[in-house]
Amino acid sequence: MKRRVLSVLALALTAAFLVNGCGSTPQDGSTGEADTGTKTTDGGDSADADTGTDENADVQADAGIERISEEGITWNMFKGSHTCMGILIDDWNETLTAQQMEEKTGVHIDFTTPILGEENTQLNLLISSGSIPDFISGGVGGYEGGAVGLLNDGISVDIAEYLDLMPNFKKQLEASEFRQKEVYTDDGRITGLPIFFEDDEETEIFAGVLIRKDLLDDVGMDVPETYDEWHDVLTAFKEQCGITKGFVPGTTGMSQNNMWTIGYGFGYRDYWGSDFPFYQIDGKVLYAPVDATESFRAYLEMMEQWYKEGLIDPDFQSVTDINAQISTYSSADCGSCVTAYSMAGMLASIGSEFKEDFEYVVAPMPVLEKGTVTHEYYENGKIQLNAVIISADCEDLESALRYWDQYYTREASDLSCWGVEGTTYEVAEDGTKTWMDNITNNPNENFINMRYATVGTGYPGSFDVGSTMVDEFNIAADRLYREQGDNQWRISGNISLLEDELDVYNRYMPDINTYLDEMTVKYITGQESFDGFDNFIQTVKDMNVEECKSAFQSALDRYNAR
Amino acid sequence: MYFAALAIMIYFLIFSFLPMGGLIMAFQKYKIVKGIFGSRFVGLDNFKRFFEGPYFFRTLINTLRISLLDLLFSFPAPIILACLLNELRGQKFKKTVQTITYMPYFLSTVVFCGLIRNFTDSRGFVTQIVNSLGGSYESMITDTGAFIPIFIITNIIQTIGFNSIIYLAALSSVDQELYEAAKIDGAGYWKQWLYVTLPGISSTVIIMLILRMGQIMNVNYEKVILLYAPSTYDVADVISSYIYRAGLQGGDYSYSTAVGLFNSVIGFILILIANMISKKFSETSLF
Repeated sequence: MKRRVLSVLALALTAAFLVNGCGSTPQDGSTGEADTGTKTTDGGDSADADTGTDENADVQADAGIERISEEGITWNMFKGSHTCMGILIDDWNETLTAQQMEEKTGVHIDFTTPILGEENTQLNLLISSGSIPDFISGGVGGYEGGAVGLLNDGISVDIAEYLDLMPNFKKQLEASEFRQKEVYTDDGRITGLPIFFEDDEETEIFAGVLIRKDLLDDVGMDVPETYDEWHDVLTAFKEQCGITKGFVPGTTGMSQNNMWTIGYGFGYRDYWGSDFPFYQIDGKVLYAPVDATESFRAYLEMMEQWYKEGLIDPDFQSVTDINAQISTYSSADCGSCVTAYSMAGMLASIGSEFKEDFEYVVAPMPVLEKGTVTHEYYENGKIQLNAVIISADCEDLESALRYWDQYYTREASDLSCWGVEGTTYEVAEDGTKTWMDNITNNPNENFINMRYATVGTGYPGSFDVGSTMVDEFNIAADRLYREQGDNQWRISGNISLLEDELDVYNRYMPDINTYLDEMTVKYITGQESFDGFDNFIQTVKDMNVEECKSAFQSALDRYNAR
Repeated sequence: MYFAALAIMIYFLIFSFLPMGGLIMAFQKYKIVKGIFGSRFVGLDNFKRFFEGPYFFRTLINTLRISLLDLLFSFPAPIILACLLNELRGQKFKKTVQTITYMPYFLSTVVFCGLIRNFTDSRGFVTQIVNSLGGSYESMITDTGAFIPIFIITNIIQTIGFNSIIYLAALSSVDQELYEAAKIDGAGYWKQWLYVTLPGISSTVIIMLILRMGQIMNVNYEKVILLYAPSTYDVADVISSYIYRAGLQGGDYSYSTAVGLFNSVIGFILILIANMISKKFSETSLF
């Protein structure tokens, strides 16, 4: 699976980049763990999560940040970059969290910040050259086996062994069963320090299906819900507005989201292009082409029809990277896309140069019949693992553990989540916090960039979900998808494959992915006839897809048994 | 003088011979943290995996097909250009033509391929011209049939000017008296070219050809990677692009080293064959 880690990570990065405007802050760096591009949550655990609520109350009454060293300690840290880096700040030490923590603990961190998008390569280089930083935040996805691999190879420390040195972290960890299930590996180890969300609340849904509002107005139609309605709308777009890129089913990277998201409504979770291709129903690992063959075929047949009718961008295969996506989605003749909401504003502002009222709105997942429940949406996890990984070579390990433990105090969590009261946020009388105007309403920079550049990002701790939900657009979209369905089919990103399982997966899956990418495109463009569809599926089976599935199945079973 | 040679030898030692040690990876299950000396030895497993895998024949055949076609068309192109330029008498025009034909060579491959993609997508001017001449392409660059012609024609555009330099140099060293003698004997332009010019530059051509044979397995993989798309994998996926996907994108270093080694071995065999043939027919050879 690591073979696709880069693309998975790219997906995650892009997701994060789009959503949080962030390249590889540790939040996404945690992606490295079991190469989960997507922080996944197991919806079934919300009950467990609730039991933690009461205990959280006394966690909040903890002591403040302790001083770690009087004379001062300096450690170095590999910390992923962010889109605000180089524009608003040049060093993570310029952020409030870094400054205040240094003042209060006496610990100075020297940051090594890789180029955005180069985190994996850079970290691998550091590790292979033997100069392993004291703390690692981000980039572990490129390492074989991710964070678990680092632990197996003795590069990082198993935090579970040191819980006694970390009372604040321990308290947070033991606040709910859900947290323990996610944070501990199958064999009871802890790879790195996570970011919790208070009360294990659901985090934001950050991406979805967007459709051009201005065009809908022009043709006088409503936001489509079913495939038939989509077909009518796209046809109207084409005939009345001359839209040539009604739908853009990308073939690589983030743009593949289009392809698989639109397929949800057929009652299977799309094969995810080339990335993390499985889904699960009731604990059983499934792969759409072999386990939902008929739906998969129906989807491809529909796509072929759309392509024939000119509803699909003939250049859809060129939408490979983030730049191509931006230029395609913001062009006047693009009808719809699947992307992060935080992009919508940017796309509209570029698009308005071509058409004054260019605007995207969120559409529900298209389905076959109205009212169908979908089982997938784009949600950030309720826990983000491996915000910080501690190196086994770290000098004065005990102090280091104590230092990171401070981040789980209420004082530090507020600091790294919200910043400084009166400077970045305000507290209302009922105790709710809100961002101040300098963060949310900066005319030149978006909220995410301002927030991360001022407050800092990716520190471990227990965060307030309310700090992420500021945008009206996001809140409305979030509600839309939660009403439409759930997120049950996702396989938790926190499952971990054993080395031989990883070997099996890496041996067969990349070739299967290539084959599927290729065939999907051929079916859509009509290069391949559906007469041979059974052979195609048989070939997929012959390529040992079942063995890859069972590798995932055993990892999922172990996860469910935690 | 030996001292000067030493520097070059050290250069090759460090940058060409030492890295060969890395080939051991092809026979191991390489792990970064264990390094070359600590990783587990797996024998020919990585090779077996490639040979038994579904893409072995396709990538091999594509590599050979693209390379040979490329050789067939883009190797003679600069020779023809050089000969034509050599016939020109107007210096100004000659210089202008030379400069224009050089220019694409100095464009970065990424930029050049970006242009190709733009020109050959559904609205690109090339697609439109071809379609107005009777073609019926939706988007040329993603069309299986159009990929190789696009690839080779753009290769010619990119390298023709630069590669013609060496032939121009060779042409200038052909003895002018031979031409005069040929003229007196009544040879026209064509006969002069055939009996004077061509033999005059033939040894350069053959050496260039042999050198070129060595690179045959490398194709021009950056260009392939920048231009291909899932619908053209059938004809465009070559061994090097397969290595790129496995090794660089997937981090499977051992496997991609093994495939790369296989690629080099084939390349080496091709050089030997080319060398042997040329030795037999023309006395000119590398070794």
